[in-house]
Amino acid sequence: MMPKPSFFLNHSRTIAPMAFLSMTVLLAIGYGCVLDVPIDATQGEIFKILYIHVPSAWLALAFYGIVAFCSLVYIVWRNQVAGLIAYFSAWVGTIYTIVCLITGSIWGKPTWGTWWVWDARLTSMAFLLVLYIGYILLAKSFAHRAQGLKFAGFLAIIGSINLPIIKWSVEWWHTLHQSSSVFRLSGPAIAWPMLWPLLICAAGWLAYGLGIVCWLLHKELQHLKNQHEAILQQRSQ
Amino acid sequence: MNTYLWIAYGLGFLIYGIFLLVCLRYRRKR
Repeated sequence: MMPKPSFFLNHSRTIAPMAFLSMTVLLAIGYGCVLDVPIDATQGEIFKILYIHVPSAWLALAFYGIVAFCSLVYIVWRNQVAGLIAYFSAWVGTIYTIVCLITGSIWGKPTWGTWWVWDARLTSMAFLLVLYIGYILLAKSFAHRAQGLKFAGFLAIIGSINLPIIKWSVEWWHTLHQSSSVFRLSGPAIAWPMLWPLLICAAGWLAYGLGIVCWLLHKELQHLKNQHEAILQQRSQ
Repeated sequence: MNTYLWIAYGLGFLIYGIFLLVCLRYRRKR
């Protein structure tokens, strides 16, 4: 049984400020600790770009997962709230992807000697940005939002094939981008003093995304409720 | 501090910050 829109309307109002508060605390602790993180032996201080690049990359993928899953729920069960969550998550995911690509590019210049190279990881990540933008444009290009969200939802579900490609691109092809060092079957290859601030920063940026989605969802549901009440009032007059 | 590091963090936080402000000020058009 699906929760009603009123459930989301009431809860998103309290969740959003809590998420923004958690974001502030987690990011303050996370980046405070990044200042004390030991400097990488080969890369030096530049490796600290990791703490903004990697959380952005993880969350870009995670939010695409949310978009695809909520689109499926929207298409199969016609749950309006799921459609809205997918749409707002796509906006947040686009921002994560942009930050991931920009910070990665800035990291690439001093370490690889180039801003961009068409290797498998970078290309599949750029394709993720195209998918996000395609989803948003498709969702907005219909006169009826329900229709837009449905067609965009199909794109999101088909496009989710890109997620495993991004994840394992560094294993399947010989790329310039390094292979996975955290989510590996054999355990993280990154030293614990460097890993835990990364996890706190990632949690902070996750709270950022969830806070924004809840905030926008609340505004939208409140707007729909006001509209609905205005129509009922008009009819009764 | 490394210049590239400053630029990456500056741009990253700027993009996240602007998007957050835009969302917080978002008003649904009728």
